[in-house]
Amino acid sequence: MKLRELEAALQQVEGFRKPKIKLEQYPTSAHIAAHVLFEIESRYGDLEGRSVADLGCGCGVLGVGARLLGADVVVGVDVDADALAVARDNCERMELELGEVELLQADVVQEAPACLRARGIFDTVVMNPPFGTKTKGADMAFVCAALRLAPVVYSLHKSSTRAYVLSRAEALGAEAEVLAQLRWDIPAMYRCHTRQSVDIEVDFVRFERNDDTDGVSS
Amino acid sequence: MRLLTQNMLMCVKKGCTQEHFPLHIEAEKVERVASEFKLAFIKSMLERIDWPGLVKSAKDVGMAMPAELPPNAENDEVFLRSVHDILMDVRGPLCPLVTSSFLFAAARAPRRA
Repeated sequence: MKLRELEAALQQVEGFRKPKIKLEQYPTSAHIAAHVLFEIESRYGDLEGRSVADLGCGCGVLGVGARLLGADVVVGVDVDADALAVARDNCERMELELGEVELLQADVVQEAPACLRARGIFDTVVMNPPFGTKTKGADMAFVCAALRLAPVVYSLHKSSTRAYVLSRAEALGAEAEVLAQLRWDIPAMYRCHTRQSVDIEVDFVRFERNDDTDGVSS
Repeated sequence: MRLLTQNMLMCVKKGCTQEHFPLHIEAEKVERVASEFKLAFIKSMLERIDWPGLVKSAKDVGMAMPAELPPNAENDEVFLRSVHDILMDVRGPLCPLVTSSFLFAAARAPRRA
């Protein structure tokens, strides 16, 4: 599938119906989702034929995109049942058969590493986690959980937190590389947003667990 | 939910009396949905799943799997196809009594006509 086709397909994915600011629910745009997923597959081959988890999947755009690029198992995890209902509808709209993208409700940080027993089942995590503006540290808590589930994690983080992200990655026993910097144009979604839209500089980061560690934070 | 996914899940409730794994599937609501067999994928999954858990869950939904992997399982295509059937094509909801409030599968979209 070409990048353009992927982006066009992901345009059909619907966003949050009633976004919850406490959970930092911002839909990942089709443009960003397509670009990051395409890069993951074309440069690293970490989607096709792999088992992939999308943590904090929200409306499911990354999970859907991973499936379109040939991931054999995709599991989306989110704490919010309303978002998962939208994700389920999106899978139907994309004509994904029931089960192609499995959706689970769980708290990614508190529950997922324990209740997803299979460290070793997932090859790859793709995610657009909360940036940590509402719950401090949520961004790297998601990365920590992700590294317990898979050896390779692709994630988005505010560029302004880059130094923090890279140093925390080291503490978690992982190599981190900023693959690209993206500009994310976020339209006003919440009452506290005073401007019509705002550009945020975002790092697209690849984390890889070092050998001999199990990703448990020190 | 597929049995592959169910095989990944465990109960995190402290008072769990069922050894936390595997979570029960509602056997009466199980259906079979055929999907494409991919040899390399099933071989790789075979290494990662909990085989005793799968055997138990398969039995719960009325399908028999051998208690031990047959010799040279990873090259036995007939066997691997049966593994594919059970992991990928058997779909059923998790038993609500077991999963209770904090963890459920939101994969139950209404079936399309």
